Amino acid sequence: MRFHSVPLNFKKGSDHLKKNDTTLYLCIFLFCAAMIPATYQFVEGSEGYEVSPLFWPLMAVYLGLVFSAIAFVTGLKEGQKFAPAEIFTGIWANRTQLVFLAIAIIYVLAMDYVGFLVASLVMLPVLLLFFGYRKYVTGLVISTAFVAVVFLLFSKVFKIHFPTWMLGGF
Amino acid sequence: MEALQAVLSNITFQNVLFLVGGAFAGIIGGALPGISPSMTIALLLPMSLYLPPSYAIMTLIGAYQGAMYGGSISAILINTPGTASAAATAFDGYQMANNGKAGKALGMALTASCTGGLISSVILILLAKTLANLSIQFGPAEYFGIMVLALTLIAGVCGDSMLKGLVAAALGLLAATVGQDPVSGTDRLTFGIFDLFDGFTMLSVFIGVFALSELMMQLRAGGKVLNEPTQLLNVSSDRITFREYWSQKWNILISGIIGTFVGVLPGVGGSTASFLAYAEAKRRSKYPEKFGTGIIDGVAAAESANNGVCGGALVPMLALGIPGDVVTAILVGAFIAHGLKPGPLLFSQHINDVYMIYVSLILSCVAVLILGMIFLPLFVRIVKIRKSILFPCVFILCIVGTYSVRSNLFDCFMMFAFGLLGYVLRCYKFQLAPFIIAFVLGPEAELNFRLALRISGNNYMTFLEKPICATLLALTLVSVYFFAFRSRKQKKSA
Repeated sequence: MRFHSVPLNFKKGSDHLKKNDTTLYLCIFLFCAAMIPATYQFVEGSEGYEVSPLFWPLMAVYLGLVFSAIAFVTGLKEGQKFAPAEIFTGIWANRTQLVFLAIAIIYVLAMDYVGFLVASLVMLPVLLLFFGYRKYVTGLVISTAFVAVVFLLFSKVFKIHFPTWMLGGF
Repeated sequence: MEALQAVLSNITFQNVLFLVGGAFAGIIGGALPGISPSMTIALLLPMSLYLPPSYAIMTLIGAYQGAMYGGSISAILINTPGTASAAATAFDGYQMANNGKAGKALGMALTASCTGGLISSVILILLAKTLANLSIQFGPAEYFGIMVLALTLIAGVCGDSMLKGLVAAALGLLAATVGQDPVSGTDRLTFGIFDLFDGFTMLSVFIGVFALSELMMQLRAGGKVLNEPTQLLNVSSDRITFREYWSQKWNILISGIIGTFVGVLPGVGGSTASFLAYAEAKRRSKYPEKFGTGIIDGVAAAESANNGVCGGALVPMLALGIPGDVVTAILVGAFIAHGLKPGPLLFSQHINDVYMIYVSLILSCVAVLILGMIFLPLFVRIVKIRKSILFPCVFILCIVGTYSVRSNLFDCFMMFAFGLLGYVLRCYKFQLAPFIIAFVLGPEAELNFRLALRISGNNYMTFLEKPICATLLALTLVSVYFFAFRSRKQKKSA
């Protein structure tokens, strides 16, 4: 088994996608291994049934363990490197996506306090900027129009109750 | 016949309007690079939940047909297929557009798509009932066997690595176990979180895995690229003539049939169908050397097969309840949400709805044809929308769509989690189909497995004692061996 502490196969551009699959297989293996005690703890057993409610989740976990282990070994045999440091470099290489997720989480959290309309009217222009759109005034107009259409369509036509501002109003 | 008459009498102006609306949205979704048919259907699904079942079916079927056609518009005009299955269309379509024949290429794509869709609809009507009649004799053990076989086939066919497919399928099965136990009703893997008692909502999984992960993938290109205006070739005023269309009748017919039968096979999908039909058209052609230089035959073959997949993929879905690809997996979720459980019982309990699906498929081909003829200039303009505007708007739709199912913001966080998972899997070139199909089939497979055991008095040999089930499980083993052997051979030759 070859261990590498330095990031491997991380390049900008199209090669950005090339990674050692073994890293992910190991993560999945560890996740499945951690799920075994979790399954025993968080699945209520039930008397009087031929097959316990535990059976199917455990089967899925063991299948995940076995397949990821086979895939890990196969990957190593095929000459892929095993670089645990790839996890951290991977996080750094995908910081844009993680920032996007963070914005998304803030948006949903904010929606609970300031309501759908206000949160969306603030967040959509921010996202337009984040995705590279630089015409500020047009961006604001597009955001306002789009949010208004979505709000009217879902709240008036489909009768969905969006979160509203805690202080009242929309 | 009475049921058919009942369905025909139920076709009103309103539900046809929803079908046209679905087809319109589907064409736009398919035409926009980065918005796949599965993403289009996943985004339309929340809205369809608020419609009566017949309206919802028509909307989604219309969107399915529309999205499969829509991919050809961007393939022809900007050499960027809106859908993976339109990749073969780009070979000759883009060359035709370069040669100043974009109008003819778009016209042929439209007519061939609609004809291919009609051919597959007819085959669906002929095949589905027969298959359903056969499968009505199946018990829980046989269903379990079919589901295991389908999952293995999908994991094997999708992508270049069967192991990746199997790992993804295992994760999908695990995700499906969260919530209540289907037999005893006890909690499983809810971690004490009340919002997980009903499991992960299908929409948070669908939208996260398909839409959000796609937005994250697109971010890899960077803001500059996403904000670049799309360079379009001019759409010439020349239109396809009936003579040109008629000259391709056999090509379209054969390609439509190829598309349909490829669609029936689980996991194979539209891109394989269109490439197969393209290769077959080239093989039969008197001038094969001209393929790829911009001839109408290539567009006709690829597009007819591409839309032929729609009807084909619905055959196992309607008759057996087995989704053949991701779009039909989402459709299964939609049908279940509307109280229609795909499978043989659908034909005995909801025959009117089955006829409604048939009629929807046929009408959607007509709707796509008419919409294509009238609104083509509009669709061409839509292709020009910058991704930097499109994707933030899609993100808002993802949030609203996910939230609208239970009016619960927790589902949005679940959607983010599945978006991250989908993104990681995509980065490592995992196919998402095995994950999604395992997630959709998981509860059914478990239920059938446990019912079979209960009926047999906890006798595990029941799966081997029943000849159909034993055959299906044997086929599963054979397919695992075949895919593993093929994978090893491919790697050796690479």
